[in-house]
Amino acid sequence: MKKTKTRNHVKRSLHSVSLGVHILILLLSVSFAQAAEITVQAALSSNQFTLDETVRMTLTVNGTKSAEPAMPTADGLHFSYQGQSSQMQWINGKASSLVVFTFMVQAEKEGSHIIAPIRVTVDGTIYSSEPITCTVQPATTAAPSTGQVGTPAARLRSGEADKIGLMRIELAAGQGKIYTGQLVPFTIKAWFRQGMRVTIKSNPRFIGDNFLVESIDEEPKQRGVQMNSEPYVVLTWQGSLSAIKEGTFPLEVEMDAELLVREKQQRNNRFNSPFTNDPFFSDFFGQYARRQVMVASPEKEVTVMGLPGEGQPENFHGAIGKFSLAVAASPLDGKAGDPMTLKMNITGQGNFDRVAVPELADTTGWKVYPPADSFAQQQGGSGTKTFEQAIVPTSSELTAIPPVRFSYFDPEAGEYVQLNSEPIALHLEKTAAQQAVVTLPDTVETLPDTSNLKNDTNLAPIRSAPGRFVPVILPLYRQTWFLVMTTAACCGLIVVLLLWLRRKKLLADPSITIHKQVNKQLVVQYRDMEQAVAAQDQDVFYTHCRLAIQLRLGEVWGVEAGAITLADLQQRQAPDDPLLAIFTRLEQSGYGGMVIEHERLQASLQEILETTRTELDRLP
Amino acid sequence: MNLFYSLFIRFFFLLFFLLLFSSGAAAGQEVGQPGTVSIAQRFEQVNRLYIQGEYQRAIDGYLSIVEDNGMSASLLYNLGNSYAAAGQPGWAVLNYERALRLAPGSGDIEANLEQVRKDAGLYLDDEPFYLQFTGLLAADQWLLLAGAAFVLLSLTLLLSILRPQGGKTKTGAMAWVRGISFSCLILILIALPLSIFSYQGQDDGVVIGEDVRLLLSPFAEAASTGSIKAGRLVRPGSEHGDFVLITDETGHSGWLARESFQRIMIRKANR
Repeated sequence: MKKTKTRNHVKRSLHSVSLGVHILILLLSVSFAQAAEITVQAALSSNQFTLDETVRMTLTVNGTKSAEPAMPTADGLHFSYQGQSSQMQWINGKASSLVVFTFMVQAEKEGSHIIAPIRVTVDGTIYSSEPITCTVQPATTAAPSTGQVGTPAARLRSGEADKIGLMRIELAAGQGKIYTGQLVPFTIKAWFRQGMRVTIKSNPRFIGDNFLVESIDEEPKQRGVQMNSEPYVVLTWQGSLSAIKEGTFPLEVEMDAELLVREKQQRNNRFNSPFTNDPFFSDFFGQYARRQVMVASPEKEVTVMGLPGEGQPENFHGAIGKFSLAVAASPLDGKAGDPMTLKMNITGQGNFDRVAVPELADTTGWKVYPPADSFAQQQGGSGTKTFEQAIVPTSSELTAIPPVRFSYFDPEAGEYVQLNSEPIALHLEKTAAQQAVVTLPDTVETLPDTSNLKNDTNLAPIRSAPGRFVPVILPLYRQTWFLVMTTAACCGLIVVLLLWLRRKKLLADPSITIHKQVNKQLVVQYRDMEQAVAAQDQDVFYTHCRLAIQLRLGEVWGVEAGAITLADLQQRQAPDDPLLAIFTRLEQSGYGGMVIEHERLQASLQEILETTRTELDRLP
Repeated sequence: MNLFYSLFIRFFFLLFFLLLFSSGAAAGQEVGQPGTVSIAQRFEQVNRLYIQGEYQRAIDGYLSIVEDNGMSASLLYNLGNSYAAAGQPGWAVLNYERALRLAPGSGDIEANLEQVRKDAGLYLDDEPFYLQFTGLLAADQWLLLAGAAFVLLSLTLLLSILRPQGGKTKTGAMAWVRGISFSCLILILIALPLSIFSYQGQDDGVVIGEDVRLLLSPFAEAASTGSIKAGRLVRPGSEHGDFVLITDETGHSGWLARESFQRIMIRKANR
């Protein structure tokens, strides 16, 4: 029964191990398979484009979730990285991951270009894509050809292509009047009739070089709408643009698309068959053809105006939009010479790249250092730019941090706005020593130069002795002496642990200690007996022999050794036990006066010693 | 038993002092011992350049000593002073930080580092209490404290377990052993985590370039998320090509070009 149980247990264990091994093999094979299936593909949205066009290049890495691509290179082409996306799919129980890197490509010169293989590093291994060839044609604002070479695309302006859809661009500025440098949010919408088989081949692009696109959605938002009782799919892109120069310019966007259109079969209608004239059968037998089209928005006139020179504040640095200013400082107590951090947040919507650090209205008595800035962007050109600036009061007479000023141009109101913060109260200590003006580096807007530091900094003097040299800076935990010291301490602790365990074991079983003590005493007794044999001293020999027997039997019987007598041995030992015989002989010699002949004495004592030792060792 | 105990004590102390002696020798790792006089003379010559205000020449001189003989806390400190005086706060901070790795807690190095940071406007907000407490000692000092407590703990327990049993002062001795052991254990539990925490910043970097900008993504054309001053301490993270994702001591993060900062724990001081 027990055997069967054990066998079942072993079987179950084997099954578990086998299952584990299978899972491990499966996982390994999946990972190997994934590793083996890594492929890199680069593709352009169009292999033929003009100088004023931007095309999209996608670098698809199959078989991994993360990869590090190198920047593509090609003579005469400019690449800008747009971002990456990754996907993971389970198809028929098989996992597949891919990561797609997107680059925008612009040509710097006409002609044929070859994009060199792009190197991609995946888990330390380098993979490469195939080279791509593309052709760049002269710049033109007319409809360029797209898609397949030799297939000119039809340019369908909204209104001209009602059967397909229409496209519009709307500026947030509304009136069609903007200022140079102003960041204008825009929305591009493209409507396509539902049911149309349209593939978007490019992002919307602006025609002409009067406007600079600052940002645009990589992927459009998609939703369905009803327009004139017709269902449409609307694609919406949002972004922001700015105008470069003054004047009135057309604003127009276009986009490449591919239509899947059904072509009627060219059938011989000689027989005037009812089937061939029936639209149902015409559709049924119809074939689909791909047609490259370019959807364009109607031109929208935009007037770009220059910023007014009148009323421009001195501290205006080109910020256009709508902003608010928040200022905080800390610490507000201390003494002259102690640094404070002035934190200034500018929040709003506009061209944040032109938002400069706000200035103190009055810097008298203050040492101002260059600020550090950071920008947290939100959607639609809005965000918060934070400046952190170190300022140091040089006089203990100061009672407040002066107001901070920031100017911007409000395009809606068409005027400059100056924001002023409130003064921030200070509580500086006023001691006799600190009432004097604190000397600080003279530089205000730049880092201190050599001469300033030489004269003004209070550095501790240099050292005259070179000190102990080391070849490398090693942290303590990598220094040999520390490792040796801690290893020795570890060994010490291990010794402590072993000794403690031993002590615990001895305390749990006192017989071990008693046995060891008796053994030690027996060694002494045997030694004395051997000495007595050598000296042929019978009395001493008998004394030690008796003691030895008493010690050992006392340990075994658990009684006091000295209390053991011949009667005890007679009672507890077998009648033929040699120890009983020896002990009897010892007793007789002690009390009965039995004397062994001198010639036989040494041999006899030696024999007793051997017998005693053998018998005592035999005892449990 | 007593004989064994006394022999063991003698042996242990002998071993302990041998270790201490070897530790001194190992910690020093003196380089170029036979040429000490020559190094001292070169050091003195370069010091004179500094005193004369020839800061750039002093920097070159100190760096040539580093090239030939390695680094010392004094050498890196003087190099930091030279960089500070030459108006290069980034390099000055870097060399002071390196000097502090070799001589943690050194008063003049800490004072000059603070002065240079102040002059360059490298201020920090008030640190939370736990960071202030951690900053009381350098990472190496916390670890040394933990290590010393560990050795003392081991020694105390060893002596207590090897001492002859059944003495008259058993209770009193045991109380001492327990007290010392408990104190050592508490010290280890405090100092060891603090040292581990401090070591996270041991190999931080220092921004050395002027007008360095943090980027949104690891490409030269990427948009900037802000500027970062020379001398700021940065903690490097993931890397991509020639860019490293960093977080600076004020909490700002972004991609920074590799050449814009230097790691503190490197093989040799550089310019």
